[in-house]
Amino acid sequence: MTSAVTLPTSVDEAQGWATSAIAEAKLRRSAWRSGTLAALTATAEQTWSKVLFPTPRMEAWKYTNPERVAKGSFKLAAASSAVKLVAKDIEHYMIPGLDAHRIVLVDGVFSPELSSPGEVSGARVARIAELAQVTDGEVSIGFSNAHCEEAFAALATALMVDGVSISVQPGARVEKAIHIVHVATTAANNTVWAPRLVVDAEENSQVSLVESHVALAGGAYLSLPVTEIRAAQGANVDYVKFQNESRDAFHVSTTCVDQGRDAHVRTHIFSFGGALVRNNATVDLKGSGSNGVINGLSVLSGSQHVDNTTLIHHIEPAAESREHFKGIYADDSRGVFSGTITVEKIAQKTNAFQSNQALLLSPSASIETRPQLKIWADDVKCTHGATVGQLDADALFYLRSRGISRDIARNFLIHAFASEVLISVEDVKVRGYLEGVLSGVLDTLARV
Amino acid sequence: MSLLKITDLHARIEGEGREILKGINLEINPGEVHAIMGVNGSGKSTLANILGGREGYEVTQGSVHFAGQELLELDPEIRAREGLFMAFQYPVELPGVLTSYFLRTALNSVREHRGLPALSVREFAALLKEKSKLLELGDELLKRAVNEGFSGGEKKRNEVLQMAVLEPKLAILDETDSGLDIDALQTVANGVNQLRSKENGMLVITHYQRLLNYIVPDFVHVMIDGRIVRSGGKDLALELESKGYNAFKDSVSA
Repeated sequence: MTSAVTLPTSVDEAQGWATSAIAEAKLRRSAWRSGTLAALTATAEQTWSKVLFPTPRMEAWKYTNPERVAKGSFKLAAASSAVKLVAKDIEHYMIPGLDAHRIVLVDGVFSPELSSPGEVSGARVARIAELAQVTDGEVSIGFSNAHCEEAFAALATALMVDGVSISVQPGARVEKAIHIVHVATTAANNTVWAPRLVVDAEENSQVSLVESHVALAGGAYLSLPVTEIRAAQGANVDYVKFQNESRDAFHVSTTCVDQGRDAHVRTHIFSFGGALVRNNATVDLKGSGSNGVINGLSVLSGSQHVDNTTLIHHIEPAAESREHFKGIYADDSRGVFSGTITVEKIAQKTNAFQSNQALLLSPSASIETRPQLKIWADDVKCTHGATVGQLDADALFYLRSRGISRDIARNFLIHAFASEVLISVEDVKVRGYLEGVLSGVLDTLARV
Repeated sequence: MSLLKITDLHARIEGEGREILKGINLEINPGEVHAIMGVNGSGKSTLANILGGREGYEVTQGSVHFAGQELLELDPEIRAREGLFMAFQYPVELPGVLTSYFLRTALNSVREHRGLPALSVREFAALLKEKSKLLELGDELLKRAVNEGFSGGEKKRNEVLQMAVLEPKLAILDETDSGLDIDALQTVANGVNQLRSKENGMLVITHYQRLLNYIVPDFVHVMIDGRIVRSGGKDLALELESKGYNAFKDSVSA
């Protein structure tokens, strides 16, 4: 696969594309009146101008080279995509049988034609670009979260021109799932977009969200999605981020979860496609009795690279976190898992579990795994474990000795490895859809 | 025509110099049950592994014919489809692989090879029910992942069930009695006996005579140091039990 990215000769020059893209984004925001957003974007611009692109010499970027993004050349995606899609074009990306309110963004831009019309019972769903035209209303359009001040989060915020805000009313149980679909088209090549999803689940509310990142065509684009989820006391949120993009695409995401007392948030991160993917995910447990689950599955081949960098932050006592990331790596692909658990001194009676398992299908595939526990409290239960392995030869022989071909036997074992993360997805329809996509991806890996 | 004919088989572990099998000769005809008895290290499991097609062994001399074909040239899955079945001493656990799905895939692979149509989920369920009943096995094992968390007895029962479903021409039972208490042993042996027929053959590999009280063989072979040193009828097992393997060691040099 070839892509038409022209490489500037120096990183200084590289900051250039970011500078012009930010200037363009500012221009597009000129009609915005929201004080909150003005403050948010101004802070982000300032932060960005100080930090700029990270370098591989930085600890957090040791295994994922940010220069591949920095040295690209990306223009801010056009205010409306040159490619006009109809519902049939994206049918394939809908989840069969799922009763969902659908929000579609094409090349980073909200598409009213493809999105579901009308309201969602129990929640207020609105475009950020529209909300921003008026001074601050009741709908949330951005939280301040210290962990979102990472360079790419700052860049994404400085580049923000649109997004979706979802406010779930107190006590509301949103029956429909909300499916946000990001589609890249042939017009995406050499462009950048930074869509924002803000979810504000108020006290004792319940909502389920799926965020798909898919591509209709190849192309070297850069997607910088930021998703902020705030779950107030007793709220219950399911969030599935599914990414299966162009093999030339760059994707650096920021996910910030903020949980209050007794709030339950289950986050799943599926990464199947892209040239370079980095997921920065943070879970802040700010209330006792809160329960944060964050699971992930990466399935890679070719020269794909996926980095999951997570931080679980226990800020208050008696909260629980469970983190389970798995990866399947074929060919020359490379995975990175860097998982930090921080337990503050006050956060006694914390329960934190982390595990990371990698399955290497080829001798040239690799995984870097870095669990880091920073525990300042003394009465906590924290465990972590990491395993790296290959397909079990005895298991393969057992299956083959029953007449099952080598390819199918491999497929069985790879599926079995992946199934542990899949079965933890609550919604049966979403799980079924992901299983289907995964099967397609795995079928190509099993044949070696 | 014989079902299995092993001629002067010599083999070693890949990359090692020492021979483990030093010239095995064995012929099994349809309807016959043969037992190979030997102590640990005599080479009996190596023989089973080589017949099954496990990697890591090198045949240096001799041949194995199975139903008219050169067995050693076939991949393990082709051996299975041709009608060879291996009941493992240590069946592996396959978490995440459902027993019924696994077994239907296996059966349909075998059926396709034999030119038979694939069984639907429903047809397969009916067959499985019938076989479970025949073997007096409950169907609770089928709802779980293959062997995951199974007791030793459950694992061996599962092997026999797989054998019943796949209907092999020749079954090799590698130390099926190991790790079983007497009740489990009886259940498993009853299952195996249900599957004896005039058409198929069995090769029972065991250390102890005990199993042969329940699966009564037509022929017994004593294996010492990579060779079959004595062959006889079922009484040979009893003789071995009373005299011990040492009494047969003299035959080695013969």
